[in-house]
Amino acid sequence: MTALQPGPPAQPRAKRARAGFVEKTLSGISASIENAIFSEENARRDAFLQHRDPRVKVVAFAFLVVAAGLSRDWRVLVALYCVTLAGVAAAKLDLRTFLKRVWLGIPFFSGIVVLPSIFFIGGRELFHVPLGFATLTATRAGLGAAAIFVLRVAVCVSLAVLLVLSTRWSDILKSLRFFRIPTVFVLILGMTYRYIFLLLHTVNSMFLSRKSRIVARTSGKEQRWWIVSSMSVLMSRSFRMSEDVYQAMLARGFTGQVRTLTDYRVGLADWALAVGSVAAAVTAILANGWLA
Amino acid sequence: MRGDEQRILPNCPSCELAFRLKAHQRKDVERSDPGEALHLDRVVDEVARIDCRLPRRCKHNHCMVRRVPGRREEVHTRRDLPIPVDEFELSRLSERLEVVREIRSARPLVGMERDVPFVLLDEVSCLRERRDWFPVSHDRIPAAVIGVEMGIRHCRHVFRAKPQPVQAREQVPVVAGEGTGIAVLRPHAGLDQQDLIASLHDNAVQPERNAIRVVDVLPSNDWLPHDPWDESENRSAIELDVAIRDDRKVEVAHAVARWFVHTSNDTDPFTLAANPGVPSTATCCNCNALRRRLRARYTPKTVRTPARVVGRLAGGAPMHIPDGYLSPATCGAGYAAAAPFWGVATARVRRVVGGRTVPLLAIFAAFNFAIMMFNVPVPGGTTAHAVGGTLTAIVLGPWAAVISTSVALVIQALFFGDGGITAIGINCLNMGVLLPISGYLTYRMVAGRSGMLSQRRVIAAAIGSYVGITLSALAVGFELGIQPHFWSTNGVPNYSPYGLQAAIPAMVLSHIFGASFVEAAVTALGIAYLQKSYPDILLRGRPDAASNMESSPVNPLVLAAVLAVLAAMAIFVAGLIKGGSLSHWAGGDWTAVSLSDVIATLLVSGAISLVILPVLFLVLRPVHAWRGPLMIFAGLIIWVPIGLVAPGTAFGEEQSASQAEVTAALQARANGDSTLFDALPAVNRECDCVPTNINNVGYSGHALLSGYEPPWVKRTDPLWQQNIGYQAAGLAGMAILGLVILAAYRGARWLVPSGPPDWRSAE
Repeated sequence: MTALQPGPPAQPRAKRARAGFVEKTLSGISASIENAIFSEENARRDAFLQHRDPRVKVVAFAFLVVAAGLSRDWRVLVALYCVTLAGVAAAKLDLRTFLKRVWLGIPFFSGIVVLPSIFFIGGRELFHVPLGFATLTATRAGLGAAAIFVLRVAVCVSLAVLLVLSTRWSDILKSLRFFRIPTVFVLILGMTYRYIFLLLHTVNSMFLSRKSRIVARTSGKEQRWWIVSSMSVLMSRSFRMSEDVYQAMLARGFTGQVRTLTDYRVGLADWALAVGSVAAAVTAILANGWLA
Repeated sequence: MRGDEQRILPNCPSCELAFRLKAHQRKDVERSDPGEALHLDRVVDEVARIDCRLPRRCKHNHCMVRRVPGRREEVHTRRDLPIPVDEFELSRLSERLEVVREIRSARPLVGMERDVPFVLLDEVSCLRERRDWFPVSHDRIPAAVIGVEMGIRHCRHVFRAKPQPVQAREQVPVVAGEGTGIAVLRPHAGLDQQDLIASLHDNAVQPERNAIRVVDVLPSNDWLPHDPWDESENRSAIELDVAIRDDRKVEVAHAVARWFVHTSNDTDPFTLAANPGVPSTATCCNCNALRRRLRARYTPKTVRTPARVVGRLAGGAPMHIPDGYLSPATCGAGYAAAAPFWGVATARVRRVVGGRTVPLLAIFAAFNFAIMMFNVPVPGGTTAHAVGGTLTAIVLGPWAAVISTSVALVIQALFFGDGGITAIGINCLNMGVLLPISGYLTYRMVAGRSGMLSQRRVIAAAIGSYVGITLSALAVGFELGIQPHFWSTNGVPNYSPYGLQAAIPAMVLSHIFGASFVEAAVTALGIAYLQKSYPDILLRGRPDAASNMESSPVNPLVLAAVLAVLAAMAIFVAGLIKGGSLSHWAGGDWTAVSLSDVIATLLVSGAISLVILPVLFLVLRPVHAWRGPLMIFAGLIIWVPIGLVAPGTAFGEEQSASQAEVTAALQARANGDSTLFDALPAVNRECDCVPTNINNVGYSGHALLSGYEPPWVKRTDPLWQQNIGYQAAGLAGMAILGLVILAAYRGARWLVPSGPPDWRSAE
């Protein structure tokens, strides 16, 4: 190491508060990986929902989501949301994390998206927002529609998150086989999931290596060219990797036929869950008709 | 590469740079060898004052620096400053804690009389100025040039051949002395250069493919930057000693000022390095001290990881539809529509690829997923995401792209929550099916039969992906937009509340001017990069390598037709927007137009062109080079009068009435008699006034003839007669003009004979 002596104290410089594209990508990747670990952790808990047959869970999810999709009354949606929260309790998930994960994403965004429509639906007027050149009138019907919309989105997302957090990915895939999805798709999905993390690791390395070697700003053109070259390197790597994987599969006896090992048994609790959720869904759909 | 050019290495290593400037003057910069040249661009604003301490130390050395007055503007222009990179120097300084100090408000001066580009800081405080001279030089070589060292540390891979580093050094001529070896590493027989280059690529360092060139063999006691990458599976005969990144083009954000001292024979500051053989006894002015000081001031940037939510909102993928936005019926329809495509795609891919289908598609699905995570910086400072469906379609074929993109979307939806689970079908339909297939079809249409490595393919990729993602956005807008129409109770929409008029423009416009360009840029650059670095990926299955670089020429008629169609569509849409409806297209009242008039006008123009154009064709044979354009011109003249069909008048075509007449007419109309008003010119009737300055634009007052039409045609004649009149007038006018010009030309030629006679007319 060259002899470096400390100089005068450093002057503060204006820091760039906005993260660049490298940092954003890195944070996105780390968020995905964190997500995955979080899901797997939760899926291995010892709780009621985690022990249930994944096929039953997928069926329950499907029914409940369709019921939520068909609901038009806010009371029905609230009831379905309560059912979801019951599921959260049954899966022993941390409620605060669950709520944060659900609400701080798509429903929040949907709220923003649907906000203008409050002012454009006719009906009994609630309040006015003067804008200088025009006055926006919020109507009760508009507000109600927006609230139902956001609530529905939240219920659907909650159900999806609950399903994903309480079921292992491999189990979800294997249950897809039950629903007559071709084996090749199931296999591709499984392999993709595994290789996503490998490629994400590679991308992470690439971006980290760039970050650790760049000292000052470069032009946007250079950055775009670098990104594209990284993509192309990744593509070439993917080709090579797929060749290697194929050879490995051949070496292990792959003949083109795919068989999965599933050992699912449906017990009493599973039937209870299935019946319960189907009943809840049907009740919700019917209740829409009654309440309308 | 450095050849037989000698270099002087003074004691202070950081003073080498200026010498190298001269020595490398003859370097072949056009090859844009990475690291050979750094482009100096917009340095000025970042360059600051130099430390006071410097000049004082230098005083006794009588350093002289010449400031060329009035060159300030120069710095704003972009000049290539071939400051060669000194691996040794830079690898020493490449410690990431090393200094780059902001040097503000100095004025680099780029370019001097003798083609020696130097950079000069002209504001050097604490120096005693004598007019425009700053003392910097020493002994016999004057004028240090203050080199502005680029802030970006230019790095190289430093290799040591294992196991004997000495071997490498002995292989090559050492250009400079004093223990600093600059060596050219030639590959050993056992070296797999391809692998080496590949592993470098994997580390996101891209040297030229043809060779590993100048490589520094450093003395081992030097501290080298830490190399975090040491993948054992990539070992080769050459061991990667330190990984340093090679930047091709960098922008200087910071610069470090150094004083360089040289020796030369005369006091002219610009005869630099006249005697390269003279060893330097000059010392660098306080380089080390400056370095220490400057280093301490550098604070590495701190990066705050943005919150996941905000990151997802701000940079999220533009088109994933979440749950709840669409009715279950739409979602079901999406699944039903996407399923056949998936089936066909699987069958096709399996037929082509066979057993390799599964790993290839799985890994490419993972690749697609990874691509969707990239943040692409766009002008304006934000980042965007690219889907990359068209890129995969071009490389692997559309059906494989369908599957891999769909799988990536499924995993995104199921696992990462990007997009709803019930909306998987619709999302796959939009982005997994529509995007790759339409992008690929457009790409094939535009690319024609040009070679795979030609530039036309790149442009075709750009256009294809642009069209692909725009169509996809259009589909999303359509799907969201039909929700309120079909699924509303009592006028209140149940699902997405925005109708077609809101959803489609919102989606399409936001993509057309934003995300589509990003996608197009990413795809085009990706194809270009693949053409350059991995052409075998693109050439898979296409054995005709000979014609691979040629772009087949674009049929200009086809191009003209396409552009004409696009222009017509744009004009039509603009007219609709302006007028509000079809009957008021572009603001005119088209209901007042009679169809018979229109047909008559068109027939007249058609008849005249059928007569005149063949005549012209035959008559203009002697000047066949001009024949085409002249015929087009004549055609334009013949067809221009169909503008008569449009309702309304041309503003200001006639002379305006006087203010008194207008006032009288208005009064008469107020009293119930509108004959005077109707007799006013249109320009007054439009606004019930005399427009200001209209009479300063007196067309009719200064034209050769009183109007467009010949004397025997009046404004009140039927349209087809007016048309004939226009034609006659126009053609006659052009004929007269043509004769006049021809006469003038001939006259001029007769007055001023041209050059030597044509050899064909000689005996």
